[in-house]
Amino acid sequence: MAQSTTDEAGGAEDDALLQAVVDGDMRAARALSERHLARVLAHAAHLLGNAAEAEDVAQEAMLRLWRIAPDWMPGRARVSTWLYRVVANLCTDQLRRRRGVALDDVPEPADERPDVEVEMHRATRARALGHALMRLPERQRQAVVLRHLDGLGNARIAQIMEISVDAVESLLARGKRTLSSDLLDQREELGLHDG
Amino acid sequence: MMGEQSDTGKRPEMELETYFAAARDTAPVPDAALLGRVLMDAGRVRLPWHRRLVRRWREMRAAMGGAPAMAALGCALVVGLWLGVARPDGVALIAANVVGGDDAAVMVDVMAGDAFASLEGAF
Repeated sequence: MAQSTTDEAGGAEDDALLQAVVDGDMRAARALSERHLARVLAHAAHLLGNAAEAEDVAQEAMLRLWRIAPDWMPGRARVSTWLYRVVANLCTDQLRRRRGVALDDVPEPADERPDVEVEMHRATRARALGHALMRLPERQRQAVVLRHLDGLGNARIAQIMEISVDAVESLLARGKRTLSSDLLDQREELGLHDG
Repeated sequence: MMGEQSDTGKRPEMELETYFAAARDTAPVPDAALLGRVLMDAGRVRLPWHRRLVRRWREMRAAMGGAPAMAALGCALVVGLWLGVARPDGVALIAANVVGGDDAAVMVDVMAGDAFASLEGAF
């Protein structure tokens, strides 16, 4: 696949950048941040359903990357794979800490875009999906987010989650079934119709 | 009939995709403040002192020509140390031949007499 070829090249480039960070090269740190921070932040936000907590997780994940940089073994693991794992673990910890806080108490990310119908529907759908994702078991949520929001292939997800491809497919099938019934049942309630 | 069944199966999938697309479109984007904090963290992380020492040593060794140069330097060091400590008889002889056998021969008087003044007068 074209993406995996790009990923391989990107992996080698990431290794070189990480080595440069160890040598104190701040331009390399900036380049690595620009390559990964957006993805790390979005992934954390999807797993947590909260933008502010996601920022903390993203910062912590990047800090752990800088800390492991001197011991990084080039070619052994991809920076992006490693970051996905760290984010998932940090989100698990965060959700454990959050236990007891009602889902509705979790603040919604502010939406400052124009209040047109399309934007409203988009925001409503995103919010509804966020809530539905939070009701999924953790592993199902992680698989669904990696596949459908981060756009990764099943083999890559299996690598990140350290499970077989069959197990990924099973998690995805169950997760999507639950999401479908959960979301499509409340379409009318959310004021969402066709389109 | 089959086509209808297939359409019925695909519809929820397509609807679900509109939710995923909405979530992708509204995903948070890192702002300058977050990027700044991340870079500040990167600037703070340093190698521990012993790792820095090993790194410096490797850099120095590479700059001097690698392992062969270091081996030659080590040999010279050992021989020099041995010469200094054992003071074998032959060394005094070699030194006498090299420097002329007289300490005075290697002394240079840079301000001898009016040498400086005569030099000044030459220009």
